[in-house]
Amino acid sequence: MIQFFHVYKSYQEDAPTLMDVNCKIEKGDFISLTGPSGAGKTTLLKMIFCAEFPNEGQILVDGNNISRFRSGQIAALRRSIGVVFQDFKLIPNLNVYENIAVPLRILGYSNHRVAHRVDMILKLVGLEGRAKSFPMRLSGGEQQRIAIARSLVNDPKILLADEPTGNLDPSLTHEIVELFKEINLRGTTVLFATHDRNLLRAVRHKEMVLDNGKVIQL
Amino acid sequence: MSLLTTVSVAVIGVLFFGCLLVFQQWRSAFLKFGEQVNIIAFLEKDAEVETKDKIFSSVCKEDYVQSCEFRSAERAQEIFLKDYPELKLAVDQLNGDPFLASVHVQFKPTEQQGSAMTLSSLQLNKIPGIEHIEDSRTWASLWERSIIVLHEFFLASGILLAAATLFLLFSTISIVIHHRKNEIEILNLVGATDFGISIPFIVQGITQVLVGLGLSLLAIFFLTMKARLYLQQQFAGAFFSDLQLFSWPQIAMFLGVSSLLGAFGAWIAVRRYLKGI
Repeated sequence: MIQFFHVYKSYQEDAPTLMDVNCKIEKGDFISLTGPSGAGKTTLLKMIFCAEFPNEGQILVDGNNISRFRSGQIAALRRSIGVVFQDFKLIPNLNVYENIAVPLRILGYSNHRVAHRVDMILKLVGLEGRAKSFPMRLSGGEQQRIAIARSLVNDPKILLADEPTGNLDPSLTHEIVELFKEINLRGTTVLFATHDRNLLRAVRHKEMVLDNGKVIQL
Repeated sequence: MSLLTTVSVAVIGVLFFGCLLVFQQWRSAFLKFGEQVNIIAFLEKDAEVETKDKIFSSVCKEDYVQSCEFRSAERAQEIFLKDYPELKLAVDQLNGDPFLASVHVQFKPTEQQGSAMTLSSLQLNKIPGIEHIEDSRTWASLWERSIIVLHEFFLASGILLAAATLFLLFSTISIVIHHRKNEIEILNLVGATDFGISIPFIVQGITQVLVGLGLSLLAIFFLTMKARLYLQQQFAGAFFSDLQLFSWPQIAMFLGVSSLLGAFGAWIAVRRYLKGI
């Protein structure tokens, strides 16, 4: 499903971020992407949804070389991938319902279809009664669940999560991890970046360890 | 900021439409004046018929000539005595006939009247049998040159004002984008196309320009009504006293061009931002 072929990336000449990354991620995998801060986890994830491009090498997603994608193709790719960020990235002046509905509005869904999908996703993440609330009035855990809901609402094949529990209390971390586990069990390929190797103990997963830009374990 | 932009667009609109109205009125006055200008070629005695035929077969056949009228010496005397009946006795006592036959050449009212009159005068000067020529070439040429100058001034000011409007729109939308950059970033990350992100800003750009345009047209309307009243009271009957506003097709064109300007200014602001992220 996702393949990296000799991918190099550097932001500065003397300090490459990723060096000769080669890996293959199959459909339905749950990959934990671990490593210390600065190992290149976020950069690797960003390359999958074309927020960054490699200096060398190729990245294939479903057989398509995304390193050569143009803006229209990038937008289409992003509509098929869900992304969850550490800082949630919710739109503050939209309520929970409208935040989750954003990807569906972009796809041009009718109001009826949007309502059906959003209600279903709200149940999945356990926020049924919060549709009309605004993000700022919710806890960190609830905001992250809204972000996860938004990333799932258009039924993506791939879900990328960049330190999704980084801003949360330990008590909420377990909830979020369980949610990702459930999502993966439904067939979605999950890439979960975290610096905490013990976080996903309870989840059946493959581990990709990054250190100084290199994949040292997969 | 948006209100300031709309008011600025309205001010630009008043300047532009004011220039346009002045130009249109000047041109309209010139064309009305043109209806009264002509060339009179006075014919030598004993060569009247021959000379008249030569004039009618050459100058009068040009595209820019509206009509030619031959006036015999007797007819000239008749017209003179109609205007000045008290001079009949003096005219009867004159030796010889002081009145000459003439050909009156009337020109079509166009902006190139001055040039047309000059060409016709040159042609007439080459025809033997003409005693002398009277024309209002100087005035016509002056008017014609003034139209050209006004036209170029109007074009230049129109381009400058359009550029100013574009810059205003671009700046305003850039500021709006800056305030909404987080939202735009999120939309970009979840797969919105550049065009999809641009739409609300383009709509805002068009709206601001159209509202500004509406305000400026209203202002021009009231100013024109006042000016028209004043001119008709002070210069009743003069050819410049009848001020005309814009026609509906002209207003539709202004709306169309303004909308394009607003959309374009907003679009380049959005595009510049999106290229950077």
